[in-house]
Amino acid sequence: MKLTVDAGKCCGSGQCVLAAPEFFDQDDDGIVVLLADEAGDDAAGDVEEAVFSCPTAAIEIVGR
Amino acid sequence: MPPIRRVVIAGAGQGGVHTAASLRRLGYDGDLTLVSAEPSLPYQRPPLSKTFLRDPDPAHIDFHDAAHYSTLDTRLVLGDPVTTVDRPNQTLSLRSGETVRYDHLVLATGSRPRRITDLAHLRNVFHLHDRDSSAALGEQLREGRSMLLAGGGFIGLEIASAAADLGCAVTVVEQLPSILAHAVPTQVSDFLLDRHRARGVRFRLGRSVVAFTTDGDRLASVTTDDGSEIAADVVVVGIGSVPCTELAAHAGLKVDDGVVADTRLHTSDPHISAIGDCVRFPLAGRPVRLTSVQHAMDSALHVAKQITGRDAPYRPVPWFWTDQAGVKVQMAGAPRAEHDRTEFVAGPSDAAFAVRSFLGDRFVGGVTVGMPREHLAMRRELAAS
Repeated sequence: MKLTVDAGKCCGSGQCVLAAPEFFDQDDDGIVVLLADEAGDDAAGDVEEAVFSCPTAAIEIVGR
Repeated sequence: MPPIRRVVIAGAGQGGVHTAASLRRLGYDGDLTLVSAEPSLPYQRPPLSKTFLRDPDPAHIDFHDAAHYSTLDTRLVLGDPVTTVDRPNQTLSLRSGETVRYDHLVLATGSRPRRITDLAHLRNVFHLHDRDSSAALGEQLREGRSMLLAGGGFIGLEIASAAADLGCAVTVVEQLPSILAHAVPTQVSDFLLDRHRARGVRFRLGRSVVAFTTDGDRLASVTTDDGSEIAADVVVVGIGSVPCTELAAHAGLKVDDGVVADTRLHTSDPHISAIGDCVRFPLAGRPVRLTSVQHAMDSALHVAKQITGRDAPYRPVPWFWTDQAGVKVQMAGAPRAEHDRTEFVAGPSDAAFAVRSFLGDRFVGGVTVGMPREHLAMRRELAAS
């Protein structure tokens, strides 16, 4: 699965970093930084949790 | 109790929307109806006092598209609020006259700004509560040259920041001697006060509004208790929120500055739960009402777990954020958590630091300014304790 983030929507809650730290980090303002934009099936659970728990719907899983 | 096959969610803010997503994620496959009083697709509220106020581009508040609700197999009812609940028959009525049956009802009715009713009808007086009031306020701030804020709380000060950015001369009148009193430690309150002042915002602390004058349908000036008169093109009232409990009270549920719920977020009727801004529930033994995105989402997930048979008490780790005076401030832990000492943590710049609060040796919460990683570290610690 492929991941995209919309930094303009991000509120810096850090929910994605708590759910899937291998894929998401934050800059000094707390705004999401995507570490990898491709996730394998083994990581699907963590990535789906990040999408689910993002308060601003700033993360999307595309093309699966 | 028989299995729950029909869930209705009254209110489509952050909590209502997340209840629907949570139920499906947990495997609930019965009927799901999400009822909104507002005519537009559910949208995000935090930006209403931040980005959307500066620039009314709908992209700032866009939440999920219509396809999201189809994917969740959720019937989204827009612009048709729940008007009454018939608890003995487990049905509710919508304004349109439609009757909807429920096995479980989730009240996610939210809160509204506390109003100064004498002022509410005036055209340049704002109580920010929805996308329309934010858009209208933003328009007047772009046209106006001055803004007066009554109250020194989070949302008001975010609006004050936006108004200053839009070129308004801003004056804040706050009854208490400090801003964000009781909500953040003194170091944070003092830091933000300095930041706002450096951006040209003027403060009248320890003062209250005692009189006002009008000019036609506009408020012209206010007088504070020291006798000074302050004129303003735009006036914002930011004096807190009140829970929307009318529906619950009318249905005969227990209400006391919020819909009263237990540690499971069940109301006095086991077929009805309450979440988000409208619920008062016990947290660490003390009844509280939390008005935050965190609580909206966590209480939504909690109720979805209850509905799908996963019983546990609701024990969230509260967190909150505000963007104002050019910085992001993040809080972790229960607001006003009891503590007997604080610890200052220096950050990488003058505009970054943290304050941690302790009760004895136990870390009970903290506030960070411009230190998002420290904020997450605090939340991890609180979750583990």
